[in-house]
Amino acid sequence: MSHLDALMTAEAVESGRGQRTSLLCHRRLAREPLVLVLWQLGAEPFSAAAIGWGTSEADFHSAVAGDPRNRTLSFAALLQLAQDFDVWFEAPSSRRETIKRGKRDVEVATTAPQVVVANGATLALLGRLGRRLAYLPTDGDDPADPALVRLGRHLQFLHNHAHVPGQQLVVVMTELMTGNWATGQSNVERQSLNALDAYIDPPEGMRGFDAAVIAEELSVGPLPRGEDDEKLEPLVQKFNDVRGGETSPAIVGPLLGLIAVHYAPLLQRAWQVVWRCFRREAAFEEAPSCERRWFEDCRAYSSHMDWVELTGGRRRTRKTARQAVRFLHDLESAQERLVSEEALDDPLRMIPYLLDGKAIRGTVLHVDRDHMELATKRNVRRPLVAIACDEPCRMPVGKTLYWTGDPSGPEWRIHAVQNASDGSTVTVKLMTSSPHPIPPPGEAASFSILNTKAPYWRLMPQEDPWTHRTEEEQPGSEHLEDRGGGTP
Amino acid sequence: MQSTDLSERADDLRGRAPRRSPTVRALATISRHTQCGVASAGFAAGVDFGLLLRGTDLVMDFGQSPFAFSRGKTFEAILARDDYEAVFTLLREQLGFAPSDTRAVNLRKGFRRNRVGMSDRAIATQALLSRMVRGDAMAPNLVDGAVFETEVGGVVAHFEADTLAARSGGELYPGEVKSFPVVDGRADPEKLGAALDQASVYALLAMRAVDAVGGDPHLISTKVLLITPRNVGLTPMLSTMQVSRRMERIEELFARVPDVREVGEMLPEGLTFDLVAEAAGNPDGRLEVLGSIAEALGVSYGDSCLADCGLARFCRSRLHAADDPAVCGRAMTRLLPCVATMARALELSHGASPVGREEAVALQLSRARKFYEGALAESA
Repeated sequence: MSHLDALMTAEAVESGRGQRTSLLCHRRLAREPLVLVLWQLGAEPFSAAAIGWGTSEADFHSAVAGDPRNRTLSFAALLQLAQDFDVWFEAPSSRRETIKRGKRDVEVATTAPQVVVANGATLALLGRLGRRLAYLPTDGDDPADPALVRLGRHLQFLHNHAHVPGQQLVVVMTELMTGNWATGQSNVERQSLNALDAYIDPPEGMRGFDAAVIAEELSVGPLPRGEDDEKLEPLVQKFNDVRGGETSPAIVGPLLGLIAVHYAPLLQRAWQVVWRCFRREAAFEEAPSCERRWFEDCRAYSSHMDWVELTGGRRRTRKTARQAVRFLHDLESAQERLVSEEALDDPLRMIPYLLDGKAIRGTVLHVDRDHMELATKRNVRRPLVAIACDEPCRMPVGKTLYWTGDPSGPEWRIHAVQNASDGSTVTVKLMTSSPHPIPPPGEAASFSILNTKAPYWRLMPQEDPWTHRTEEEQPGSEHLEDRGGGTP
Repeated sequence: MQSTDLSERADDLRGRAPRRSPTVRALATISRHTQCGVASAGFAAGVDFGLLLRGTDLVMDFGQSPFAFSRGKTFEAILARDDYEAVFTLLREQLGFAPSDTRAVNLRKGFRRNRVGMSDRAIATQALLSRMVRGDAMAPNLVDGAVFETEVGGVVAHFEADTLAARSGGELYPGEVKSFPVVDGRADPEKLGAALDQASVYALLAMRAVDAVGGDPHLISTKVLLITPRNVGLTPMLSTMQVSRRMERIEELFARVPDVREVGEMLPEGLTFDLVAEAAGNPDGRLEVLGSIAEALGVSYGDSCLADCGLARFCRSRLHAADDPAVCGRAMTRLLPCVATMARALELSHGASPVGREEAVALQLSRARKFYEGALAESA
């Protein structure tokens, strides 16, 4: 949070509606994403009581489990989702293009599927469902449908990939909107998509705060409100009484009616608000570097699909030390590139850096292309650019900066700073003698600490150091099913 | 007796307001709001904030799903089946209990479900404990629903522990039963933290109780038991966790809970929670009284209040009416120190001359505006 957020929040409170904190949309929003809405039964962690999905607002599909605490019933509902989801999710994998990575050729899918969910809790539930389904045995007695296992493995991949900063395979609506809008709400309140949406665009004649207070009463899942489940409880009770332990679709199917009627408005509510928010965000122009990140997403998707083709897609549930190091490194470098790209793409996102004194902006006064100075042994060319800024410069001489006009280009260093009461003249020095673009005199130019260079490659020792070896086998990677009592 | 006086004082302060005895959960909640005067007062006077504002627009809904409730009940029933066989199996496998260590006592049954019943259970717990620490061969190995009596903020409170397990002639382990699952050796960190906090309270109280019956407090293990379902089903599993650090924190917390007498002195004459609860009173009048109480004691509203305090919506609307930056979250309060209202922040950004300590913020806000307008002009 910066003082820009404080200012925009004050504007939001004053105007009674959300204020945009970025000019662009910093995530690619697919033309045909799959929106997924889920409801849990109480706090049942590993099942979904009602599921809604589809790739356009009109294309709404849904399934209810009846009593998701029963394994067969729960899986029957998830299987309906799996049959649509697997086909949709796997389709882009068949169209590949060949990309050269170093000496290797990689086949990368030309596009990738995008899943849109309301909030972080929905994503977390998808992760848990993935965990449950991905390791189900498909042989032996009572085998699981392979489509379910594939669904589980895809969800597991998506849930894992969703940790990567700036990824676009999973769009969590509350996160996307929190990044793009200032509202007079705390972060806890913004977790409610309904309240966030109501504040950003309140109904005619209403102020954001009041609209959000009303809207937060209505959940969009996956955790139900107590009173919703109180209405549901007798229906589930009756459903269980009538079916008398039966789980075959022929008997259960006709009994699901009342439960489906209970969930219909809840699913619709979530469905509509997610689509409304999605369309609002998609109306903003896409930031240029989404393209680079989308390519990374396509690569991740392709390698997941290759793994599924090759091995069935089974993964460890807990990473080895080596995998964990690599994963953390990937997350960190993705985060670094993301914040740089967003700030360089979008003038509003650059403001926090200007406010923090980590960037300077001004007009180029003069350029000295022929400045020479002694570098270790001989004199070399080190072009100088003097910039007139209307603020004092808070960075010291010697600080490394990058020109925002060429953020993946060579380093610049602060060569000299002359601070005056109403501004400063900052001279920056290009740290290479080879020809590179230089901002022309008279033009506006910005220099910041941000660059978009490829991250460094993390070298790892051949063998895990003794500090990172574990003797005992980590738990996990087993299927979770359990026939112990407790499931009706 | 002094504590009776204090109990009466608490009764006065509470009046007809709904009562909440200080449970472990309530204690955990107050530990997150120790800065808040009203929350501390409500805790000391035993007011149930969740129900206090019933009948007004600002009541909070913490309603639990009946399914979540029945999940917990089902799990507990599985544990209690066949004289706690499942629990003893786990204790044998993981803590080396002898096959003959299977004597269980259930204190949840046979007592009245009120304060007198709780008091009786506390006495029964004390008796069982003293047998357990003396190495009585027939002492129980498992006490379900032990109750500890202690004084919090000058008022006697009862805390109900889920389990207390003891190997014959060995250590005693306080334990907590939870119905959230542990998968791949991991649990939801927030739920786990809350569970361990509860277990630490039991451990601490059990230590005091052992001390009171003349036993060695170190007989109470600082390693507590957590019994949860494993994976998808409801098969129980046992985890043990070291909680000595948490116990230190809880001990500090017990000492910090304000005395109900102090709270009473801070309130102006005639102002009590009784008036807030008055069902016949019109909602606006009730909220006005609560507003005066908040004025007198001070509140500390933050993001976390909405999660567990029954007055959070009241505080939020009160602060919203005052255009206080705290409504926008703690981060906003930190960004705008010394700025009284959001409207003032806007004024400062437009170049209003800062008064007193507003100066630093004013500079940042006007810079932010300058850059913002510059960015918009640039992109236009």
